[in-house]
Amino acid sequence: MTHDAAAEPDLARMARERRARLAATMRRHDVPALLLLGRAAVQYATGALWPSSDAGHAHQQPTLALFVADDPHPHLFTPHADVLLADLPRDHVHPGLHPEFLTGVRDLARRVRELVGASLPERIGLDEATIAMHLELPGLLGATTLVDAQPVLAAARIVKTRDEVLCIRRAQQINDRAMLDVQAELRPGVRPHELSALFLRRVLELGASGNLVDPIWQPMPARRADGPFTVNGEIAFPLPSSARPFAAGETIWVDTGITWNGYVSDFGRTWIVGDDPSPAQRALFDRWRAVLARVVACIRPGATGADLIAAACAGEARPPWLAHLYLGHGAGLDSAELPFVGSDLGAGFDTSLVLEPGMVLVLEPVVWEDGVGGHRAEEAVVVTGDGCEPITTHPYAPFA
Amino acid sequence: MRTTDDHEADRTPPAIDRERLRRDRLARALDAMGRRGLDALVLGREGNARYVSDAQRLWLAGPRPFGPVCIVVRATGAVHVLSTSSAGVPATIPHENLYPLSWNPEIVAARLARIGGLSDARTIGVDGWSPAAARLLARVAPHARIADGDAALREARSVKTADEVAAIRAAADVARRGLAAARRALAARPAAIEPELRAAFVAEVAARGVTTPAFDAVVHHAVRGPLVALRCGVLRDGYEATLIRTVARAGGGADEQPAAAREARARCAALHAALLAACRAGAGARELLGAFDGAGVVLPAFPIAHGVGLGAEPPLVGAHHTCDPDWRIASGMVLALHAHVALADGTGCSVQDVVHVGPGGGEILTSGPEDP
Repeated sequence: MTHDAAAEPDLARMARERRARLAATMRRHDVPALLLLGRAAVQYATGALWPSSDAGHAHQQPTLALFVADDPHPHLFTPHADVLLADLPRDHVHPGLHPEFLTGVRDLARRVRELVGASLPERIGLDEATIAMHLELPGLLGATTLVDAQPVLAAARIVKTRDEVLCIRRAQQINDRAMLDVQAELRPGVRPHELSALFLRRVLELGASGNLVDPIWQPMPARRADGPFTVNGEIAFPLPSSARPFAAGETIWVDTGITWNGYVSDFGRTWIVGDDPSPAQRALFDRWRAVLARVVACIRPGATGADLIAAACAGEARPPWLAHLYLGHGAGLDSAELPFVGSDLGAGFDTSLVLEPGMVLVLEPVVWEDGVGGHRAEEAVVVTGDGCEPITTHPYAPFA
Repeated sequence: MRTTDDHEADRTPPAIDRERLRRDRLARALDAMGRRGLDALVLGREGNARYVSDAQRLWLAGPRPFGPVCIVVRATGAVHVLSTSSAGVPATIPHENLYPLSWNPEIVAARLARIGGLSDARTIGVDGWSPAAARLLARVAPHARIADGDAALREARSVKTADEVAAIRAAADVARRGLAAARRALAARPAAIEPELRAAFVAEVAARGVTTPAFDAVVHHAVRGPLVALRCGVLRDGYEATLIRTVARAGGGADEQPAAAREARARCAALHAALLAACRAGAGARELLGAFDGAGVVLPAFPIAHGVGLGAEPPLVGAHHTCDPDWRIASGMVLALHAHVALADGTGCSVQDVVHVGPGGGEILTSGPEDP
């Protein structure tokens, strides 16, 4: 599998193939219908895209999906007039619902009964709910049991279709390109929000759908003890930006992410303000790159999360990643989704994770030497038939 | 290295007493808990968690899945926060009240069970739900009755303190400047597409230290043709301000615009004045919706008013929107009012402002010298 950089995703095919994956998984898990509220879950099931908004607006005017495995099309309930519908037929698109309140929950139950038919299935999968839904909905659905939809969603979403991978690649290309321009502006006296201003403008000019996370430009201390308090004794990261200007020679851990057609990018690099790395900082980078190379070398179908962890840890005194995060995580419609590698889900979880073609992994090793500081960067890859291919295409300036 | 104090200095406009703001908010939340008989709160909604803790979380676009982000115990008044580090967490919350990010429900359950007063709470107010949250709470507090914690926070948050109004005003200042930048970009290039206007808006507000837009779209879809409705909103230190101004795509003075555009603008201005007049203590959704009737304007499909504070807040008032029929405007509330007129030929005009309700009526927080 070689990657054609100019390949365009086919969004209608993507919607079809995702739905087929989801329907097959629903049958396997014996969940005949799904009622979905989570943004990523609704997008996955319906193919619909709508402008992002802050959590308060999104909760107040949610978009919901009802997917019955026997119906080729899911139902979408949306307040957005400017929603993109992929290939949804008009009779499956309905006005928004308001499940924050009892009256809205009653409307929701009525619509479910009307659309699914008089005899509701024994089980309906639910990913998340409002508190009003938790308190009222079970009593309105008769004998139907609401079960956890997450295992179904996770099993379908963990392997990406070809078009999903193309969407992630496009998001990452936009993010990577913008960061070249941003790094060119990094110098002593510049403030973090000036970099944010440039970044946010550039990603939109380059075609991003939106920004995903408040850009992180975190100055890092050379010694662990000089950072903020943490409950686990670990390095504090990631932190929201302050207004303090960057100082010459400071080490900055950078983390940004954007979306393109719903899919996310994830960018991480270590930068140094207005200076070349010291020999000790270069040595740290070399160590980081060796960790990454060992992990990448063992990514192939059939490899387990435990294999990746063993490769990362070889020769390292302690696991080379942040204890409250992970060695690597999946990315797709969510910025951190399954598979997780090296999380606090534990060794059993890592051993049970078996890589398959189409899984996307963002690797984020961290190496630290107290007194010198740390090196952190992120590399997104996709598992192929016989190994993996890079998604991130960004240099390591000023280190390489 | 940054400390909590650095974060404070960065983000507090001078008119706001941050300590008093925190104290007042927590006191209101504890009062609401008392009135509703809630022994503890388990909060996952960004605005609710921020209200009781004032912990600054890394901002992510859109909603997050529900999880226990913040816990309040009424008997002790203690606030516990999901945060691996103390950065961005007010010094009034001691380090031992922080619990780290975890993917492992067993670790989370064991840590939450150590919070004094949670496991033996008789009634716990929760503001969101998921099957995973159900399993977690069943382990941490198996005997507790689960109640609507969002309703308690709605009650606490609806009337703003003077510091909160100052915070919304500070957000409005940035939102206005962002809208002015989008407007300049449109004037410079009348054929500009939406991403160019968004780029101008986000770069302007980010240059003022605000990197958290309230929503992505900066052109309101319901206004087309010769007029463009620019819609800009930001969250500054958690507080939202949002406004809409309708401008001519081709620029030029009012007398150069088509007659329909002039008519839409004039009727929208009259409707805006009527909405503002209707927004008084004691009035309800009926009076706000009635302003459209009174002005002879058909209600749009989208809401015409919503609460403003730590992000968008209830109520949501509109032709098709659920609003508690007993809801009444009270002095101290802050609402976004949206006047919208659509003429038969499709020409439309929209104006939205954030309004603080005082004893003598509404004060617009989003107007200023850059207004078209």
